[in-house]
Amino acid sequence: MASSSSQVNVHPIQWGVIVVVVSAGIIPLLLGVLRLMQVTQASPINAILHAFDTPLATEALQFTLLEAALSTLLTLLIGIPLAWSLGRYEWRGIRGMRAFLFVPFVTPPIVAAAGFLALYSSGGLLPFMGLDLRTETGVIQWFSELSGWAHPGHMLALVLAHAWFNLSLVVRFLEPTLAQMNPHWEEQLLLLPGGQSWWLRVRHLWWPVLGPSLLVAATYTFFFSFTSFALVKWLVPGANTVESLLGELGGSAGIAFYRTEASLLVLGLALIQGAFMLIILTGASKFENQHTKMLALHDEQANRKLRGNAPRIQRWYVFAIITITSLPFLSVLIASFRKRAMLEDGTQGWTWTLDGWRQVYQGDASTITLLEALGNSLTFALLTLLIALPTGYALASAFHRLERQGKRKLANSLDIMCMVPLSASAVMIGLGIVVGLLQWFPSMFQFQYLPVLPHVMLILPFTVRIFRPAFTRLDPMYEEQIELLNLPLFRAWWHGKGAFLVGPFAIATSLCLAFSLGEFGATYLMVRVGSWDSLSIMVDQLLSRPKFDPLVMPTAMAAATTLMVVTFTALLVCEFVRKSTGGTDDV
Amino acid sequence: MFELKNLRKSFGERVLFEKLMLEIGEHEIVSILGPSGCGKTTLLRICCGLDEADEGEILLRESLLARRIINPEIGMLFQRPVLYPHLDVGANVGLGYPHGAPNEKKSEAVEEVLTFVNLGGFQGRNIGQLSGGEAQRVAFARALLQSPNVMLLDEPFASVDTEQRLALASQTRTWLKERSISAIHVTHDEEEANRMADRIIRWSDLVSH
Amino acid sequence: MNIPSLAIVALMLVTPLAGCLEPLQEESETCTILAPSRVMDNTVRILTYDIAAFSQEMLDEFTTQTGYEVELIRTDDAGGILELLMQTKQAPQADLAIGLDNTYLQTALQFCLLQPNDVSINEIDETVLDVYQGTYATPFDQGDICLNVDENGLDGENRTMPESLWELTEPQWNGKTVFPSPLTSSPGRAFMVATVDYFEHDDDETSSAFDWWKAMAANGAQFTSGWTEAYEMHYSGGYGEWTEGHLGDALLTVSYCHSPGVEAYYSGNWTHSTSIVLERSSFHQIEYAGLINGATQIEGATAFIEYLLSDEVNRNMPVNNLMNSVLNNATFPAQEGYEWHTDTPLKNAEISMERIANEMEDWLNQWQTATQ
Repeated sequence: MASSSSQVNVHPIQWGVIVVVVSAGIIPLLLGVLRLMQVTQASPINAILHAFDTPLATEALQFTLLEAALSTLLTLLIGIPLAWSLGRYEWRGIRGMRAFLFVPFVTPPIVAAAGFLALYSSGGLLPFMGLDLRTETGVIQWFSELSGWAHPGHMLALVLAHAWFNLSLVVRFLEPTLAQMNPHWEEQLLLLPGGQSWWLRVRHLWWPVLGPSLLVAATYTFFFSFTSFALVKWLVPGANTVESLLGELGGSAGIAFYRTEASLLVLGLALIQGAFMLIILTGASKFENQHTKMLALHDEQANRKLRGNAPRIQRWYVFAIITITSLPFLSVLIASFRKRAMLEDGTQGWTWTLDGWRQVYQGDASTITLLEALGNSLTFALLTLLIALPTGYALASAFHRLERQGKRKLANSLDIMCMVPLSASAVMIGLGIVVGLLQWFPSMFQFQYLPVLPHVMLILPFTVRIFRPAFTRLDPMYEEQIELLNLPLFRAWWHGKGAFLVGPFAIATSLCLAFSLGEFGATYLMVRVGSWDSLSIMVDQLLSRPKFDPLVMPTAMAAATTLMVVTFTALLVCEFVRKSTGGTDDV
Repeated sequence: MFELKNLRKSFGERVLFEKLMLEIGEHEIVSILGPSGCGKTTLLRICCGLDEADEGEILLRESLLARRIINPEIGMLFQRPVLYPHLDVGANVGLGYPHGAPNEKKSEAVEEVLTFVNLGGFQGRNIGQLSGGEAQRVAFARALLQSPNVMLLDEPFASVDTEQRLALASQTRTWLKERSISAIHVTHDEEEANRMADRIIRWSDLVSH
Repeated sequence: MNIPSLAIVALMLVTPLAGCLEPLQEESETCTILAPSRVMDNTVRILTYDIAAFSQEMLDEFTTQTGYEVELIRTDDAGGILELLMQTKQAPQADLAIGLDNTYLQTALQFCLLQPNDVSINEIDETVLDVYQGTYATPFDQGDICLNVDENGLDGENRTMPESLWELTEPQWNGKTVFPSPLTSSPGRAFMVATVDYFEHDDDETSSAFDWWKAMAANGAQFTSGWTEAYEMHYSGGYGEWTEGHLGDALLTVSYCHSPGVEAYYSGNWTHSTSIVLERSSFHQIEYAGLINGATQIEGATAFIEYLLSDEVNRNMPVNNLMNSVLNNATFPAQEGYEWHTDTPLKNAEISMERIANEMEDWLNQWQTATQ
């Protein structure tokens, strides 16, 4: 099909955007590494070898790999039956269910940490049910003594939280595959010798069709569990993952003639973590390609009608999971209205109160007011959106044009270079800015909107991931037709392209806002001047306060509830805009 | 050999058929002639256990078949070719190779049936490269390789052009007769039915009991 | 180009740069006072740590008296104060640093993180000034760092009040001790310094403090980054048992000799926490307030130091900030058993600030090696 050269050539502005993005993504990290090398006078190889020789680092790495593996396993165990039930049967309100199951993934990590802390701690639902994951008494203590495992309760707490967080990944990848799968494949195989047994059907059908989806979901779950920070910090006291150790050591890294050992360890750990993340992301990318290829062209609605409503046990399972998904949110909300108090009979109990809300609203010398923190968060989020959205669009468009020119390899290489921040964890990006950029340009400490930089670095790869396939699906015929109609620039763009991208725009907007509002790791590492605190940081600071004051917890939970509500509101607004302008579900 | 007794099937208020009676003798090939959408496919799905009748019985050699249970003695060829995109032509056909038969003869057997349907040398081909007609013949080859005691054929040559279709119909009859396989063949094409069947039954006659 | 190739290329490019990066030069001994880095306003920004318990009433009173607003920037621990000062040296974010003690102060002075102030120190107890009486930092509170133990865990048979630190390496104490890390916590650092002195004066001349620390780590001792996590979350003898997230898995921790007094004061003259006062196992800690080099609101920060040293504030330090006053003739309050439950050390560790400054880096490295 013929297409005009102006549609296919990459605009000079787009080239400029590519250069800026690649530089902005790589330079802070590079400067951070260089600064650490300068302070320690060590090479990256020596730093890596030193880390492997340091028990603190190797224990953190072992713990990270173990918790990520267990989290992945549990997520799949819970998620596969869930996706199976949702994908194979008719459900009233399936879109609402999918949307709700997606919410944990975009919940600010500190809110999730606060919610699970409320669930697990005394007065929470789990101790009430006899499962003490916090002080590890009862059945947990029995298991600990039996197995010799020091803190099984804490590990279980973390793994459950990770499964809650990442469940949506399994549903996101597996459910469409199941829903769109040609039902005749299964039926035909049942009638063939090659499908006579369960094992043969797994070998010839289920694994080839579902395997790529499962592997993508598993890889991404592993990735997010591997780099988890807020949940590890609050749910597993005394243990460190690589990410939380970097967070702990990061404050003393990169300072000349001070704690050189810490700088050396940070350098080694950061490089080791980066290597692991590159491997994981490479695998995820490969599996995702296979997964896309396997999606059969079949009408989802016809498939669901073939199977009708789900059996009762599966309905109960789905509703149970949905109920459990809501528990951390409810815990945060309830805990914001409750403070511990001495009851009349002299025992420790709880009273209902609005004091936490009053306290967070008015602030004090240590924390700004709720509205100020909210203002900071929204400002960071909107600035992030204003930068990341058009930049992501421009990048995706540029890569698409390069593909149409036949330069697919170049497009993919540039795409990968723009994705570099994705291979660095949030803490690493924060470190890169603090240790790298700010050491060379200290005046940037005064820049109030500095936190926007790591937010954009972290979110930009996701916007490109959303827009690039959307561009691929666009029919160039619409743009070509528009060129022949002599419309003004914006109308031409809208009718030829924009109207078809409402869905991706809405999804990218909601993800930008949600991730920025909830960003914790990078912002935690950067200089925290009180008046610049975001809601995420405010929650962490409040939770960190000594708790002899019973108001500390309800105040922290009130801030967490506010962050939760704001994030969900942003998601709902974007969803409403997407639906009302006729955007598709397709991403 | 294969008996359908008093079968009834309805979808909501629409009754597809009731008191349906059909008997297929040993090695007999019966063609059921009827227009599209009348319920022929549903009947075949009930026969192989993919669906179940509201009432009635199905007997194979006088043994009552359980409902909704797949019987390995019954095979089915769907109207649209059901090929697995993650397997090549040879592996797709190989799914029909009898379970427990010697593996070393599998490749030879696969090539034999592919040659039979004029697709000799196609074993290593990607199914995405096949035309509609070729895809249907691959599915057909797999069904032939399977050679169950009772074969259900649901408009098996719908995607194939007329010339090939009639030739395939004759070849299929030869193949089924050589292996003493009973078959129920549904089609809307009378000429095809004539080439295939020992006995032709019109759908309207079948459901008018 | 795929991702792994890109990574290998990046590593190959960066590795040779190690040789090109010039080693950093140590700064000269003369400190230069930096120009203010921020726009002047009416707010005094104070960099402090989580357990600084300045009450809102106290801060409001300062604002009423002086007109200056107060904003607190809290780090997780005292080490965090030092690190933040170092990271932001070229563009300080605060005016006043509160919480560096006599184990951290020398490092802050060496790195020129503070600038002189002109606050009067006439009312301060002379023994406090013996440690440091320069103009770069002003003492505002003090206390003795001690081991605290939960008496409920001492059953008189299996576990008794330790009579030497080596007893804590025995099986009955396995997993029952928690220490804030000297890398990040000032009480933790002070206690580590005390152990250096303790083991230099015990009967066994073959073992050092770091042999003891190694044995403690092998006996299941836990280490936290800050005092709050150790005392509130792990220690079973303190207020932590009433708080959310409490674990209570440790019977012994590092705190202050007057911490049991604080517990009693807020619990109606009752506590099951007490101090271990073995000779040289405690450390006399003095906390300082210092103007940050490059501060903007110098007047306001100076006014806050003077406010801290005022009679009405400083003599109420035991209640306002849960530490002892530095003024002449200061005592703990007698009400609610505060003074009664406060233990007096038999003999504090005697290590000079100069020695601390010279050997701290080495001690921290040894400690880290011993406890890993």
